[in-house]
Order: sequence, then structure tokens, then C-alpha cells
Amino acid sequence: MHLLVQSIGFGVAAGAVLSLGAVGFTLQFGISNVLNISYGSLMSVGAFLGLFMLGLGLNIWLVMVIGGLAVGACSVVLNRGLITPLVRKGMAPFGLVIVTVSAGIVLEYVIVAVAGPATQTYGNRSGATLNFLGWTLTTAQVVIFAIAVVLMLGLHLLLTRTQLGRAMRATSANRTLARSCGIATSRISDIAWFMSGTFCGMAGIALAITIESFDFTLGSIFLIPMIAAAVLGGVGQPYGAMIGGLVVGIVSSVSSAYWDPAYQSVVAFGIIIVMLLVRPRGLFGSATATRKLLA
Amino acid sequence: MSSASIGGPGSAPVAEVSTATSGPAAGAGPILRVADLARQYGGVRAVDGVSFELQPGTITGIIGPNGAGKSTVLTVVSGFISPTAGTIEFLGKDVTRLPMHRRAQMGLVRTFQIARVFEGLTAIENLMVAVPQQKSLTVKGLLGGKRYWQSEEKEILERAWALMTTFGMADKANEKAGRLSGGQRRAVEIMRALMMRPKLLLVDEPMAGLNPKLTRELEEVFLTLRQQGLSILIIEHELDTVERICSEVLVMAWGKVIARGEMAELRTRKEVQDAYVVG
Amino acid sequence: MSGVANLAYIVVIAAGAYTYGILTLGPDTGNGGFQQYVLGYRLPFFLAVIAAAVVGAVVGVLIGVTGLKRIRQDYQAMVMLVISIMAATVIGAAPSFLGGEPGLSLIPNPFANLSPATGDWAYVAMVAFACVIGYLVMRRFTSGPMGRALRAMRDDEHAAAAMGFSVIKMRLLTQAVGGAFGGVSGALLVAFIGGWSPGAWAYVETLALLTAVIVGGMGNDFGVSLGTFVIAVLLLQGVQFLPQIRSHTGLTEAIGWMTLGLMTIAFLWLRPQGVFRERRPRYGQPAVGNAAGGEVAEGHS
Ligand SMILES: Nc1ncnc2c1ncn2[C@@H]1O[C@H](COP(=O)(O)OP(=O)(O)OP(=O)(O)O)[C@@H](O)[C@H]1O
Ligand SMILES: [Mg+2]
Repeated sequence: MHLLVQSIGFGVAAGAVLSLGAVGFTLQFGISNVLNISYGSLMSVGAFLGLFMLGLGLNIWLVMVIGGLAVGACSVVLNRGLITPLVRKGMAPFGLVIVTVSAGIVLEYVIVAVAGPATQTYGNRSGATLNFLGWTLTTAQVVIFAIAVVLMLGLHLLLTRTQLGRAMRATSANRTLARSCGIATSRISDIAWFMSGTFCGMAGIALAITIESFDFTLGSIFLIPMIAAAVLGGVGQPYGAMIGGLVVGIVSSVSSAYWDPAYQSVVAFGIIIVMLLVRPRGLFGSATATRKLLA
Repeated sequence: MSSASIGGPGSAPVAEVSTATSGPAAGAGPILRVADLARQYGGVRAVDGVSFELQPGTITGIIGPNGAGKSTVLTVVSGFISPTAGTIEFLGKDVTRLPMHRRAQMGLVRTFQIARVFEGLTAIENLMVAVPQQKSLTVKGLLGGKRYWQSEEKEILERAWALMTTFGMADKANEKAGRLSGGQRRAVEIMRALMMRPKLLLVDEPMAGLNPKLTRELEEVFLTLRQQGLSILIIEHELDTVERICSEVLVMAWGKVIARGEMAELRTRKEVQDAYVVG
Repeated sequence: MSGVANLAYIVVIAAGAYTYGILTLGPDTGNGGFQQYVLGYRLPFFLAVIAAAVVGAVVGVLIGVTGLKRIRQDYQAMVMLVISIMAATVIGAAPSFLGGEPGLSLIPNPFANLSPATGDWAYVAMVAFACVIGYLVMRRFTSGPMGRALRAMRDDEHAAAAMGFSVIKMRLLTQAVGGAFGGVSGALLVAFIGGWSPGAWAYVETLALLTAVIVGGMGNDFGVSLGTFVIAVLLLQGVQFLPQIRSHTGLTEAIGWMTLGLMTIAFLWLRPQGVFRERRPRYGQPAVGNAAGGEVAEGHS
């Protein structure tokens, strides 16, 4: 029983990072309708930028914010420089997937070229151990969880309470219609890529804090559970991704407590395949989302 | 030859290329019988208990306001989506559970409301591909190679050319279908359906977007085809067209058939007028 | 293979490689230390290659089945990527099965009893032979009416089904044939390099394959066979040897992969049809009553 409780605690902590990443992934997909496979590599970029800034002696949480914003900027450049022109040229979705795969690999090996292929670490940043509801968690885990909660709340308020948020949701639901209603959809899409990149970078740094060591493949390995979280919640649905992240986090953590941890990602993999075959719109997806996903 | 012309005024050539088998295949019964058909999308009852029969060699129209469920009926009958209730009999055989391609092979062929052509193929290839049980696509054809299917291929090419000529599109034969205009795509789609030697043709708003002259020409094509024994179920908003070519008309609203009969008579009926005004 | 499934093609190649490996390794003779001997068979070369083709076809069909669901192309592509990453992860995580992370090694070379130079040439000749066969088989599928039907299906599966094509049957058929190709190419690859491990078919190798196909020209069977067959062998083999040539910190390798990624993007941007573009046959008007009428120029598609 104790093992179960403890592994759920770890799952929630891991799920917070996952939710952060998955929300970014899903937000950008929902609004620009492009599956960005290079998202994982952008996450690695974030982690390595963080490493660099830590080397400059900056505070870890400041690093997380700056790193997030920097990756957000990269993400906008990726959209403006590569994705938007190709979409304008009429490239098919499948072609765009290959482009983002390629872009992701280029990004990863830029990291290798600059920082080398070696395994890196942020050092021990976990802080004091806290006991809480029978869970033993590190300060870092708790802070990251809090940051994730704050960001999600912020996103929720943005989407529901502001003009920008309404414009974003309108664009996500029907881009052409939104444009004909006078919404500058390309600017909305830039903003979505920026926010997505920011979430991505912060998730990358958060991940680097919580695991002992990482290399340039950090993000692309993490991409699978992130996709699982997004798919579980319904791709394009930010709230779905938040919950999906927690679920995937807890399920993988519990399964690796009772089963071989080497198979942890297999759980995520299983979730993706089963969801896509059985209910592609995800647990919380609407009928509109279905129409968007069916060929 | 004008690329916009489909089916010259003297539609005699259609007679030569027509692919419809003469007369109904299964006795004298109705070619299609639809009973209590229903289809729901989530909570929306797009089609809600529709029954009708089509006689061989007739053109039947479906009219009704937008969202009445016309396309849904056609889509369900073609097998593209399955009904939530009801049965569909084609040529006396229950086809409710049959996949779309099997129905097509039996001669139940549809076109789409938004014309769907194979964009990467040329116009004439679009026609030539529409013979699903050609020898070249069997395992034997793959093993036997060109010698095995050459003569059949030649016949297919001749039929395709004849149709292209009839529809006045011979000069576009080797044009990539993705580059054709909306009207030309529609023509390609109809020719493609005819290549399959259908027994019942389901067409969804074939006249939409065609100019009046082309509309009249297409009407002639349909009438000629009917004379050769083809049955047609046509969804159409242009009531004059419906009046000219359809012997029977079903009026749909809110997923139900609210009236049926001849167009001229239906025009005078109050419930039909109401449905159009309210819908 | 239909476009999307190419993203998991590496899995098929790996299946062929493993099949060939475990069928030719022979029983444990106690010389390899940690080496895993899974089945202990030592089949002759050709039988093992045929087995690899069969396994490749089966795996190809299995992958094809996941693609049958009517979901968006890019979504399917994502599934394929996930499948290919996961296959490597699962096998890497299970040391008792197929050698785990270290993989299989000491796979006997079919030309071991020839001198090294002759052996290499024999290998080249064999690959060339396989390419010719592959090209001929591929042509059967991509030229003439069959190619036309497959291209139609690629363009719009629903419309193809509306025309009476059994899309499922055709999709699985092409998957099986494509899978058999992949299986053979995996077997030939592993017969030459003598070892195979999950590291040899990770994420980036998928890109290498894709680049080959895209550069070759997706819609041209000559381009594709050149791509998935020859270049697949060369590239994967090159990747195997690269780490031994490089002098420091993986810079050469990084530059190699970056070039590959940039090349793919550049091609998709500037020449999406590839070096060899898809050829559409032109049909002339058949002269009525003249037996010689018909196609004037039938190029392969
Ligand atoms: N894929 C779908 N998902 C959900 N609802 C649908 C779907 N397709 C159609 N509907 C709904 O079913 C109802 C009937 O639609 P249908 O397309 O059959 O109408 P229609 O009579 O063909 O209209 P129109 O004349 O505009 O073509 C409509 O209310 C529509 O919103
Ligand atoms: Mg309609």
C-alpha cells in the first residue's frame, strides 16, 4: 500500500512536467493544425540553454523563466521561417510531419555540435525532502508542481477571460471562419507557437531538474509520453492535456513500481495506440475535434 | 472544342458509350428499397425513419431545405457510413451490412456533393481506374503481366475516350485532374461513375455551380441514360431541373420524408412550401 | 508502401535483420561471452533471406493494420513514428529477447569462405541482383493499371472505395510486398555487417530512410527502389562505420545528421517530387477500328 501511495506521489510530480509539455504541444496543434514533432528537440534545446545559464551562475528558477521564453522565441522562428511558408505552398500534412521530424533532428545535432554528445547534469537541485500526505517529495518537485499549476491557471484565465483567448479558441475551432471574422489568424498562430515554445522550454528545464542526467535526446524520449498525454486528453484540447499528463504520469509511475521500469514508456506507447485506434478524439475531445482528426 | 462543354446538344453519343446494362437485372421488383432508415450524429437525428422504393429506369429526385438529411440518405445508401437503424435492399438483396466497395461492385455507384477526383491522376486515368474488377488488378494479372490484361485495357481506354468525347473534354484527357475547374471535375466524376456500368447512380447536387447551359446538357445526359435503363437518384436544389427530369420526387425536412409525388403537383402543396420557407 | 507507412519502414528492415540473424547464428558455441543465441538454427543463406522476406511481409501487414483507421494523415504519421521508436525501445529493454540493447553479433557472413575481396564483390553482386529483382517486382505494381489504381487510392481512399476498390485488401497487399522488400534488405544488410542492435534503427535512421525516398522521388518507382533499397543499405551501413572514422566528440556524425535533416527539408521545399519525378502515362485517342491504336506513349508511372 505504501508503495502505491508513494508511486502515485511520484506520478503526480512527473505528471506536472508532462502536463506542462503536453499542454504546449496540444495548444500549438489546436491552433495551427500542424503536428510539430520537433517539439521534443526544442525541449532538449531548453534543457541545454538552462545548463548554459546555470553555468553563468543564475538562479535555477530564473533560468527556467528565461529558458522558457528563449525556446518560445525559437518556436516562433520555426513557425515563421519554415512551417508557415510551407503551409502557404500547400504542403500536405504528411510532408509537414517529415519537415518537423527533420527540423527536430537538425536541432538535436546542433546541440551535439555545440555542447557535445556527452551526458550532462544540473547537479543536485532537489532541495530538502518534504513529507506530505504520506508522500515523500523533494522541494524541487513541489515547486515545479506549483509552477505548473500556476501556468495552467494562467492559461485558463487567458483562454476564457481575455479577447486574445477568445480569438485563439475561435482560430482553433475554425481558422477560415475566424479569419473572415477579422481575427488576424497568423498573429494568433505566432502567439500560439510562442506560448507552446515557452511551455516546452520550461518543461525541458523542469525535466532536467528532476532527473539526474540527460543528453541531447532528452526531449525526443520524453515526446512519447507527452504525445500520449495529449492524445489521451484529445489533441488540441489544453484541459485534456493537463489531465492527460497527470494520468500518464501516475500510470507510468505506478506501473514501473510494480513492473519493470524499463517498460515505462511502453505504457505510454500503449495508451497512444489504443486511444488512436479506439477513440482518436481522446477522452475529452468533442465531436468537432473528431471531424478535425478523421481523414 | 470548348472545355466547358459537357455533352453536346445531340446527346446521341451517350447511347454508344452508355454502360448501363439494358434493363434491371433482378426481375421486375424495385431496384432499391429503403425501409425505416435512420442515422444519428451524436444527438442530431440527421435521418429519422425514411422509407422509399425506386423503380428501375426512373429518375427520382430528393429535395428539401439545407440540413434536411438528403446527403445523409445518399451517403448511407451508398455504404459510406452505416445507418443507426433500418434496412437497404438493392436488386432484391439486403445490402445494409455490405461495405461500400461491394455495393459499388454490384452497380450502386455514387458521386460526392463536393466532387472528388483523383488529383494526381490525369482526367482519362480517373476514368480508366474506375473499372474495379479489371484483370490487371488480380493476382493473376500481376503474375501474367501485360499480355494477360492488354486487350481489356484497350477496351477500357476506348470506353474512356468515348465518354471524354461525349462530354466535350477530349482536349483535357491528359491534364492532371487536380488542375481542372470545378465543373470539369464534376464532369470527370460523373464520367467515372458511368465507367463502372452502374445500375443505380446516386448523384448529390451535380448541377451546383454549373451554368444554365451546362445544366441543360447534363439533364439531357441523365435522360438519355435513363432511356437505356439506368436508374438515378438525384439530390437537387434547382426545382426546374427536378421538374424536367424526375418522374418522382421525395421532399425531405428534419430527417423525414414529408411529401412525395410529381414535382408540378408538389409545388402547390402547402407543407412543401412551409418546409422551404421555415428550413 | 503507401507514404505514411514509410515512417515505420525501419521496423520492417529490423524485423528482416533479426530474422536473418537468429536463423543463421547457430547454436551457442561458448565463444562469444555475452552473445545471445536465440533459436540455435543455422539455416542456409537463401532460406534465411526468404524467411526474412516472410517476416517482413507479416510485420508490414501488421503496421498496415494500424493505419486502416480513418484518421488524418499526419496523425497516422505520428503513430508510425511512435511505433518505430517503441519497437527499438522494447527490444532494447528485453535482454533475453533478440539480444536486448547489445543486440546480435557474430552473424556469419554468407561469403565467409571466399577471400575478403572476392567476398565483398560477391556481396555487391548479390545486392545488385536483389535490386534488379526488386525493381522488376516493383514495376509490376507501379506501372500500368495497377499503378494507376494504387495512385488513385493514395489520392483519395474514400473515392476509391466508392468505385468498388477494396481499399483494405489493396493496402494490405502493398504493405505485404513492401514489407517483404524491407525484410530482404534488412537480411542483406545484416549478412554483411554481421551484427544488429536497437541502436542501429533508432529515430534518426528513420529519417535517413525517408531522405532516401524523398530525394529519390516518392512517386517514381525507380527513385524509390534506389532509395529504400540501395541508399538504405549504404546509409545504414555508413552510419555503422561512421563512429569508427570520426576523431572526436561525434562532431562528424552530428554534421552528417544535420546535413541529412537539412537536405530533407530543402528537397521538400524546393523539389518535393524528388530527383526522379512521378511520370504520368499519356493516352492518345484510340483510332477506331485500328488494332494498332491505343496508348501512344506509356511511360511507367
Ligand atoms: N459528419 C457529421 N457529423 C455531425 N453531424 C452531421 C454530419 N454530417 C451531417 N450532419 C448533420 O446532419 C444533418 C443533415 O445533413 P445533410 O448533409 O444530410 O443535409 P443535406 O440535406 O444534404 O443539406 P444540404 O442541402 O445543405 O446539402 C445536418 O443537421 C448536419 O448538421
Ligand atoms: Mg447535402
